[in-house]
Parts: sequence; C-alpha cells; structure tokens
Amino acid sequence: MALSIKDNKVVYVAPPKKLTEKEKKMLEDTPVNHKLIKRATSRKYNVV
Amino acid sequence: MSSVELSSDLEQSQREKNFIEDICKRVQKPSTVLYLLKSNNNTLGFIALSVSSIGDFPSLQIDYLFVNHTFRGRHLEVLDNLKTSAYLVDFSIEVAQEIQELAGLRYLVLLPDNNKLQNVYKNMGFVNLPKQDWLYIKL
Repeated sequence: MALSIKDNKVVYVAPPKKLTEKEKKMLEDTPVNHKLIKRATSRKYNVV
Repeated sequence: MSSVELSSDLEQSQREKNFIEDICKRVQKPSTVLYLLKSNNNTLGFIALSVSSIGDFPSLQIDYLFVNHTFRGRHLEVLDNLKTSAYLVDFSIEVAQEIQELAGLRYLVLLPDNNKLQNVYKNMGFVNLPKQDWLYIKL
C-alpha cells in the first residue's frame, strides 16, 4: 500500500526516487520469480 | 462502491474508512484504477493500482489493497484456494505483465501498512529493499 496516516490525515507515500547504488544494484540483480509470474498470469480473473 | 465490511476493531476500522475514502477520491483521477473482486454478489475485496517509479525504474504500485472483514484469512475455493489478498496480488501481477511492454514496467511495488503485513507480503513473493519499508516483485 502507499497510503499512510500522519497527524490523523491520510497521506500518499511515493516510492523512493533516489536510490543508492547498492539499492539500484539489488533491484537490478533480483531474479525474476518466473514461477510466481507464471502462476499469476495463467489464471482467468473475475475482477471488475 | 459495493458493500464494504470493515475490521471489528474500532481503531482499525476508522483507519480503513479513512483509507477507503481517500482511495475513492483518488480513483476520480485517471492515474489510479480500482478493481473490485466479487463472487456471488459478494464483494470480497478490492485493489487500487497506479503507475509510479522506484528510483528511475517504472513500476506498478499497489496503492491500497482491502479485503472485506468476513473473508480475511480465508482460503476460498472460488479463488483457487488462495486468500483474497494473495489473489488480488496475483491479479496485480497479471495487470503489470499486460502493460509491461507499453509502459516499460520493471517492478510491482507496495508499502505495507505495518510490520505484520511486511511478512505476509514477503510470503507472497515480495522482496524487501534494504533500509526501506518498500517491497517489490521484479517483473
């Protein structure tokens, strides 16, 4: 989720725009979870 | 919106009410899309998605995921024996894959509301960015 509550008000929290080199490398080096994606994309969803 | 069943905990239900009211305002804008999951005229839950970026990487962001109180923690046969939340996350992966080529999406990202949810989402396949509360799935 990207919503949070601060001072009794809902605030929208955006993902970090500035990443360290280590964080960028971690994102890039993370392997794609093919099993998860295959499971998720092989289903017929009843969502409107 | 269809019927929404909030938490039985008063504080939590107020929190959920605030989030839902905010999301209802956000979906008036084209940047956020809300998907309802229904079964036999029951609303099981919903998920709000928007395109964002983490660092320079275009991403699909889960703005809010809500499961009706009655269906929380329940594996439902109608959802391939998944919990509603896991089903909605799988659906968001499907959406991300569909628009991946158009928008160059690289990640599905979300910020769990609390530490307990961090572990729930990690069990679904999300990875933690060190020193950040944000979680992601590489597409």
